[in-house]
Amino acid sequence: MLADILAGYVQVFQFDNLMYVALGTLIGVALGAFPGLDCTVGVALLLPITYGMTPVQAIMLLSALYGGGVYAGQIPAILFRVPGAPEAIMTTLDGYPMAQKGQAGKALGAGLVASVAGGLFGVIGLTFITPPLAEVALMFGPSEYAALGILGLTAIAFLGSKYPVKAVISGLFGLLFATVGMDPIVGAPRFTFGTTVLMGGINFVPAVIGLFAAAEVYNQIARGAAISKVDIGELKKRVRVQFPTLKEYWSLKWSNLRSALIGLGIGILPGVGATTAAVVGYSQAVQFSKEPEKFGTGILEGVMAPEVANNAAVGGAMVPLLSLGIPGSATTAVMLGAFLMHGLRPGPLLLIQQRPLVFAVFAAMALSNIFFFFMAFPTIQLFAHLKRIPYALLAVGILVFSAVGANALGDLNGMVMMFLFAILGFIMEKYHYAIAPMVLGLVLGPIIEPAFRRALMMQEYDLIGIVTRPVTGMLLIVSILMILVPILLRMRKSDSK
Amino acid sequence: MNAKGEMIISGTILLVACSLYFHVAAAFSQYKHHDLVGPALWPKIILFIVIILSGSLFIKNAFIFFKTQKLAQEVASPLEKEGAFMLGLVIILTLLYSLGLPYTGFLFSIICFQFFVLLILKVKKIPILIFYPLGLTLLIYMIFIKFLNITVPRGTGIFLTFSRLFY
Repeated sequence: MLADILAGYVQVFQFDNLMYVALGTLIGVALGAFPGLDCTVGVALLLPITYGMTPVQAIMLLSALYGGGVYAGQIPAILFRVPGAPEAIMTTLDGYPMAQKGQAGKALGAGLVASVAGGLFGVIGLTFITPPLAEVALMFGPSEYAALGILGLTAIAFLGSKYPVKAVISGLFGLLFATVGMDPIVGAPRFTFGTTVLMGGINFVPAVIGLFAAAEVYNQIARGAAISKVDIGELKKRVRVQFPTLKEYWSLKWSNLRSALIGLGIGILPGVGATTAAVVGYSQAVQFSKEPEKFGTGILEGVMAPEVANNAAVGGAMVPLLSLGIPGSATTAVMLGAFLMHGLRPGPLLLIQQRPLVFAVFAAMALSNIFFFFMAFPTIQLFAHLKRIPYALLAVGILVFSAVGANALGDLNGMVMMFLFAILGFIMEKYHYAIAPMVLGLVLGPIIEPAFRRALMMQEYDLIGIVTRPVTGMLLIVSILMILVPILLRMRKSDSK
Repeated sequence: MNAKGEMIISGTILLVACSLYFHVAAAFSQYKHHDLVGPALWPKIILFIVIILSGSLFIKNAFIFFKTQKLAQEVASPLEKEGAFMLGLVIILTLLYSLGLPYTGFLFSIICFQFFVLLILKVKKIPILIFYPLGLTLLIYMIFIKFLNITVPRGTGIFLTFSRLFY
């Protein structure tokens, strides 16, 4: 294990790879700091660009982007009370009041150290949890795999928790889209309507670019945001990052440790993600605090707790992806597409067949935390000077990158597919059908369907025999609970209203 | 939330489309020797659940609609109306871009596409209208054509001659 870890670092420290990690972190920081763009959009937009890279470089670039993106959301959250990414929403509560008190530099310094500490904690957890979990998963048969896929998909109830039924419908449509093309077992064409274009199925990359990137632009245009300007505020004074004293850090050690554990744990749960980790991390800090009334007034603990948690969740979210092949968040669902695009299938076998790659990803994620520590300073200065950015320029940039990226990977049909999915994504957003479950369905469909059908054949079509297998049964019960609990909670809430 | 729009989505589109797709999926069972776990099984399970769920959504929204139709309707703000008009134009432009790309080639069409989208989005500064599309096209050219060696359409006729100057 130690040798694998060292080999991972040796691989990352090769000049080319180092540059890709730095580039990924830089793009992540830039996107994360910009309100309206997040790391999921970034990963989706960069997918086609990774086509020309080796699989290791591609995955390292995207992993670094993920880490950098989650960190940088705190910059506008602290400076202007506008979270750059949803993960930074809790940081606004104490970060912005600190900025108003003239302590913006200190809040940014504390947030930066918290992000690095949380990120590194997440990577350590990822490094030591992934291999044993993958070994357990190696013992799984088709029925367990199908159940695991279903469990991953039921995370949709959490991903779209505001409208769980619609989230389930969205996820089911993802599964349905995944059935388009040749049947994986008997090779029969399905939903191709006689055209050869759909024989190969729906190309994941154009679909994801359309759903996440182009659809967001359509939404902003429809809301009228493209005519206006993204006002990210105005700062009167020059901001200098100041780090709190060691004594201040030491006094928050237990709060930060709890946040880190919460972040890692929540990150591992499929579908919950870094935003929830930040919310829970902040809540625990309030609960355990001797002076809870001070939260929200601008205190260090209120900045550090959510930042430790959301960055620890980044490493956590990679655990189910690398060990089980099940994405832990919307961003990792898109990253799963990157693995598939490069001919890699995440899951327990990845650790056997591509062990050096997996450990290189761990090392790259650790290193990206160090990189964004240094990249934060110029980014903060840049954002402190920005006042207004015309959204029209961003919109055109995203649309053009989306079109060319989809064209690059799927010829003209890919581009048409991307725009169709962009329109679909726009309609879904308008009517509150969450997009992430559809993407999860699209990536998990090819895992669940063949596993389910093989399990049925192996058990001689005895469905009861399948669901009563101990691990399968347990996973299915958890899946059912994950769907029912949010729906019942919502019904209870509306009843009490 | 607009219950009428919700009814159209959950009722008309989801229910009707899924029922039609269920009918299409049923035809997959012609592979008799794989009937039980054949190609139709999985899509039919999915479609069945979607039909049930969207049916329940439709009933719920119909109930809300008939109960509240006399109440104030959602009124779009002038900004949203303008936004919807712009979106319509951008989508039409996108369609034209997709259809015209094989004939006009990548470079010419991408510059025109950007220029017109900027115009639709009310960017009025001439230097931005000229230099932003050119700069972005140069970036895309370097990344996708030079670095990734992606094949992009060259167009026909005069556009082919123009494209050959660059790639």
